Amino acid sequence: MTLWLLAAPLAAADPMPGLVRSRDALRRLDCERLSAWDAADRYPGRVPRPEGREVDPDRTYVVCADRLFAPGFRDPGAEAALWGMSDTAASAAAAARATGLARIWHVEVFHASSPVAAKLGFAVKAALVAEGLAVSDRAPRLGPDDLDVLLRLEPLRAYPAACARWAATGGLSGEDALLGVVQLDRRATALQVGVCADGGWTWLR
Amino acid sequence: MPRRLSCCVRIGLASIAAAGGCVVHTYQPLAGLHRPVVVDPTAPDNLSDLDLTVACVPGGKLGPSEAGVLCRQVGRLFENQGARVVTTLGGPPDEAPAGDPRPIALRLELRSRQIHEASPALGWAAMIASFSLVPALTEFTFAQDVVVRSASGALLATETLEGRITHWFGFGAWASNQLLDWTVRPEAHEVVGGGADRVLSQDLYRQLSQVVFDAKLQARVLAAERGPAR
Amino acid sequence: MRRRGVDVVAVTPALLAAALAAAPPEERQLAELDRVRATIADQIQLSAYDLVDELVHGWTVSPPFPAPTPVVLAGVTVPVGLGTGLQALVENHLTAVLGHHPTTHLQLVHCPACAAVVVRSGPEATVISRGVDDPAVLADLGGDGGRYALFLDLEAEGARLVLRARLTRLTPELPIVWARTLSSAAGAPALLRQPDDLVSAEAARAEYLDALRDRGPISVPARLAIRTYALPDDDGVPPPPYLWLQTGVELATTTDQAWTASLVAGYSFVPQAYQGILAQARVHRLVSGRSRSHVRPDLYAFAGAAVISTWGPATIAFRDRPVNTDELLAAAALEGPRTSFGALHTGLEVRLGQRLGFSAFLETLPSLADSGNLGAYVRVLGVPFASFGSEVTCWF
Repeated sequence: MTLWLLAAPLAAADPMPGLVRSRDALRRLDCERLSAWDAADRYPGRVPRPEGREVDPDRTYVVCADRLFAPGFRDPGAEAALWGMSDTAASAAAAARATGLARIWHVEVFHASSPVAAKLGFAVKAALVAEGLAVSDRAPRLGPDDLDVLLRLEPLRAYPAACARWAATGGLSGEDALLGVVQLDRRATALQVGVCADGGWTWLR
Repeated sequence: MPRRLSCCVRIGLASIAAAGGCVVHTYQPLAGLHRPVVVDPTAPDNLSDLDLTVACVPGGKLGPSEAGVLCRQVGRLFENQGARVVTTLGGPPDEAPAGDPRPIALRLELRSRQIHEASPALGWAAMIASFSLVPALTEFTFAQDVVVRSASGALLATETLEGRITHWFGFGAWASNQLLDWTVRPEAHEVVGGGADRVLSQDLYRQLSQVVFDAKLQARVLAAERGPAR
Repeated sequence: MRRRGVDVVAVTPALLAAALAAAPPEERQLAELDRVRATIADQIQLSAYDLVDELVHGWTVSPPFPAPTPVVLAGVTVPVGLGTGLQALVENHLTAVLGHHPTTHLQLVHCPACAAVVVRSGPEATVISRGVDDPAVLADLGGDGGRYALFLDLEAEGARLVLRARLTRLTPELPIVWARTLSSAAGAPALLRQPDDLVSAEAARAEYLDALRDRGPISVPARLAIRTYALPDDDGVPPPPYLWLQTGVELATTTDQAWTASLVAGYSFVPQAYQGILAQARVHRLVSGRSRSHVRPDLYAFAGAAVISTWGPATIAFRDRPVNTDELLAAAALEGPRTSFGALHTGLEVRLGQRLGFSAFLETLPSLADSGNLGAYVRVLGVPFASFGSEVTCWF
């Protein structure tokens, strides 16, 4: 039995499209099915705690929250990257930690949208600090000639080449490592992660 | 008095019988199905460098015939995006794709399961008592498990797409929604008819397209990593 | 003049509508986009403040520096798609909250060069950057704007609002010395903490739950009620209106106070007319939501039963045959019979903050249904509702 059933005759609680709710309104919701205990923990006062009673294992709640931005308000590529940004940052940081490199970490993000790239960089840096790693805000620089060459290469070749140039020009020393988060294609929502250390580039995922 | 009662009984029984044909289906995306998607499933060049095996594994509520239909539809989806597709019901494909192998070969596995179902008896009693003016309903939540592996079996992507389907039985729900469809709602937002199935298919195909596209890029990265020289 | 004013008021919206309709589509789209942005910013503003409060509260509990340290607010970024309005609000709120909590050891300082775009030319390259990204420039400029920079980022990730913060030391290596990530769900209520006395989110939530539970499940209602009786259809004399003072106990059976039950006793007295006592039991059900609200009136539906005993000259109408004038006059000289009867009622009640309530109900008196002295305000399925009541209740 689900929560909405109590109000089904009023057609007010169930977010399904129908008499009082359009399909567009439904697309603005993030819904998930929770157990009674999880729902009571997350929404105290709105969902009663099943205390003192035998918990019905079948009792679930469909809990919906409004998305902050309606679908279509932001560019789909930006929305897709920002939707899972916390997970992306956490997994990138976990991959960096798994390398075992005790270095000062720098972060470089390549994304089609520069505001999104800046936010991804912020998120990854915060996640690296949360993993207990030393992180620097410094962005290793490349000269204009290097950039001119690298921008002509596809990303799969450009990053290894950039890594070599950073080591050669002193942008990254033996005490540094760079975590790269790369959008290989404008149509991709999953971002690839690589690490540059000692002049060599390794794709982590 | 007896004549009036029997008339009411006849109307009631007719309403209840009609309720079986007056069904409104609604669909709600839960986890994964409404995630933002960038790739265009209608673009013909998304997967032009890909050999794709689509495996629809029967099980749970997905019987072999339904799995076959799903495989054909999903296979057509990816063929339209430029992939070379073979389908199978779980095992290795019967035949390899014709022609030279393409740079990337992936295997897409689809499994369906039902994670929740409810059909409250109180609703059915209310429908009968109200001569199908108050709707009865059946709802279930399904999960579509999506796994993409490389040719060597390496896991490239895994995703679970959940959605909720509700069937409203009763003349009242059908008539009121049909009236709104005719008068107020634009065609793309109609509730009665195949609207729910259409939206569910759109969501599923878009998510599958994005998962496979991302997995293809992941496969390219793995191939580049296996290549020479750092 | 008044007519002219009306004309102006009436014309202006029409002119405005006409002007908008004549505007190019791009301008209309931009205007609509701005309106939507403002709406979204309004919706997330309180959640953003909550996250900032939580951030600062964390600093009061565990300061990032051992001593008060000058810090430059180097950048506040808001969700992609929103403008600088929300950015300014968040900056101001952060500044205000930090000002009230010096125990954070963060002293915001002003550093114009930090946020400005600076150009540094050298033999190797010309570098264009912001001051905070090139501490050598800051040192060259001679400013002592602060040894640390604070960056804040707010972003909407689906239904969650996420705040990230980091502190960077402004030395050439720009090491990040502290970072934290906080998030809140869009559906979670804002904690609305006092900016000058921050408490933890758990304490704020406990206060919120205490407010929900309020004084506990048991409360004492004090009620002033009036019952009037419908005029009979035929000859007969209806009972007079009864004014009741009632008190008793009310019990909330659920945490969200969606179901309550009450048991009250009442007394009515009008000199030389009647006296009466009643015992009443009632069940209330919240119909205006799933839990009672602290910011809106609550609407309850109720049903109950009462046993009323009354005596006095004016109570002669409570019998099962019509009373004529002679009998009424004769009864006025006497004590009058004592009459007891049961009643069933149902109605609606509006409660304000669970402190004050206004209700109205209809009541049927089954044992007096055939009395010629009572009419019916309304009949439902043949049941006459002969009495209409209204009440004002205070809860303690």
